[in-house]
Amino acid sequence: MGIIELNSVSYEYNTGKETAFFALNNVSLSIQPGEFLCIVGHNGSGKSTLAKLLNGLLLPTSGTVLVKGMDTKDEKRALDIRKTVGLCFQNPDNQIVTTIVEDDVAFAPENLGIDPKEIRTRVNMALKAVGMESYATAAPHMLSGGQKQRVAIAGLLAMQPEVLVLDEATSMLDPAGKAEVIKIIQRLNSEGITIVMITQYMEEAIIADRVVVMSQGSIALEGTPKQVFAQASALRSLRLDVPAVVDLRNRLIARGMLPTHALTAEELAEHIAKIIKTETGSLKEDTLRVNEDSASH
Amino acid sequence: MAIELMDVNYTYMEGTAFEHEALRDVSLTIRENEFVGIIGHTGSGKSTLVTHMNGILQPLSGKVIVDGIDMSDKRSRKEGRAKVGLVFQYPEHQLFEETVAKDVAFGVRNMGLPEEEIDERVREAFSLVGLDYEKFAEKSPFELSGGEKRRAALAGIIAMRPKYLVLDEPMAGLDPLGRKVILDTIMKLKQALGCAVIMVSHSMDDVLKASTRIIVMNKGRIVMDGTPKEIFMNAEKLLEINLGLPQGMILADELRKRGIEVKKDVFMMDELFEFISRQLGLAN
Repeated sequence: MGIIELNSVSYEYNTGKETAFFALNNVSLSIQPGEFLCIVGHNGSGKSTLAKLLNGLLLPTSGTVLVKGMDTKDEKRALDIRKTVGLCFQNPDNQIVTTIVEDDVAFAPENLGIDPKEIRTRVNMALKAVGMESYATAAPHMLSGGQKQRVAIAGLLAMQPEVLVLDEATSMLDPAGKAEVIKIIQRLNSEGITIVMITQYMEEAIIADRVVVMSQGSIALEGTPKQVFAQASALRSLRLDVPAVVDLRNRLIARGMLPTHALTAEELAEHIAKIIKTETGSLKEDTLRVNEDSASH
Repeated sequence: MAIELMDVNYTYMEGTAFEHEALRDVSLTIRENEFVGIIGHTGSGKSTLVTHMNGILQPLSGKVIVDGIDMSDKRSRKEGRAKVGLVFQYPEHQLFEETVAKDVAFGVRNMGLPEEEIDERVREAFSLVGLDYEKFAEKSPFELSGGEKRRAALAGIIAMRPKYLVLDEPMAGLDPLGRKVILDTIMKLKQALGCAVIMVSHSMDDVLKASTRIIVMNKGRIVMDGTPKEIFMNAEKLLEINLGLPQGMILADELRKRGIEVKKDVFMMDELFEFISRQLGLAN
């Protein structure tokens, strides 16, 4: 059983009104403990709605969401669920509430009435985990976007969650900020935290264990990054794309290059180098053989 | 004719504890028909720079001249501003009229043109940004998708027929197809209108694809200014200020690490495609 289980979940906005519409239709998904799951989809595909359902911020119109077996509709478990699943949003400026970094990180545990000594330990650990320990007493508004987002993540870590859900958490950051946050997320995942990352950047999905592609409120494709990015035309028909390197790879394969599942620049370069080496290698062998042949005659 | 910035300095909240120097001695000339990509970190001064171009922000020292018009002169500023169409970040947040057609017409109407010409320009702007007039004109802007809203906002600026089209992160927050459609639209607009385009973007790949000239900002200063080739031949400098590299550049570098000699000026995906094809002896 997954750490989060969605069973036939639908979600309707503006129920009963003229503007009512279903953002999610009958979605079932099992998120495994320790998994790095990436959810991609076009604007309006339902991926942000899905994120908000994962910790009970939204409750399904029909179907159930179970977090470690706890139903998000069960009000008595709401706090346990929120402690288990931390949700990080797009805009870091909307998530920081205090004027000093460490106060911000301590904000949620303080509200839970946790012992101050314990809070101190947790804040230190959380700031260390995101590489922001030297900014503990800094003012958040003086930080870069990437740093602010790392503080927001530290605030979630102070709750000691088992799952981190990141809803386009890198989309407002510049390339350096994006890279900082992705690195932290990868490390947290390697330390055992389950990651659900929602993104529109195909390049970011490469590092996931599994990619789920949403379209019009349903799951349209699902698989490892290799499986999903092998379906370039399906992705394009869903308003998405493959990473630039994969696009080049596909063009080369269409021209006759030995097929490969390479997703990154490094993997593609390795593949090309190998072909060149074997070809020159086999050429040499051929030449040798020809020479031997002519020698024996 | 050109947009000229001469020794422009700008500081936010000068004289307070929050004082922040956003532009420092920036000098720059943008000529007609250029496609200028502006890249740099968040906070490097890109947005401050482009908001100076139509006089919304006035430099604390230095001058901004648009086609010979001094933008510090209140009376002539209006004339200069009409030449520079500025599309802000998330322009769809500024849609407010009852119908898309009214929204697109808003800026032109303020120019005091006759109704007939307003209508003609609005229809033309719809078509230029790829929105079907019959389908969208009478809709509420709020019924549009994210990408459509952005095209509507762009149409409102286009209808004013600017000589210089300035765009601050026009692709931010859109899905991959939405990003592609907007960038293609911008490139087409430049052809159709013959205007200069100045585009701020975080995406190295988009800037590389579209620009004839790239300006790199860092800490309020222009640190690089040249053709895409000139900029990316200096990859070390980009890495020094911690900016990402285009995907093609990363691939070329990985190939070099494995003993495949890729020339320094080969990093566009199409060039790499041809280069690798030759190396592997693939037929055309």
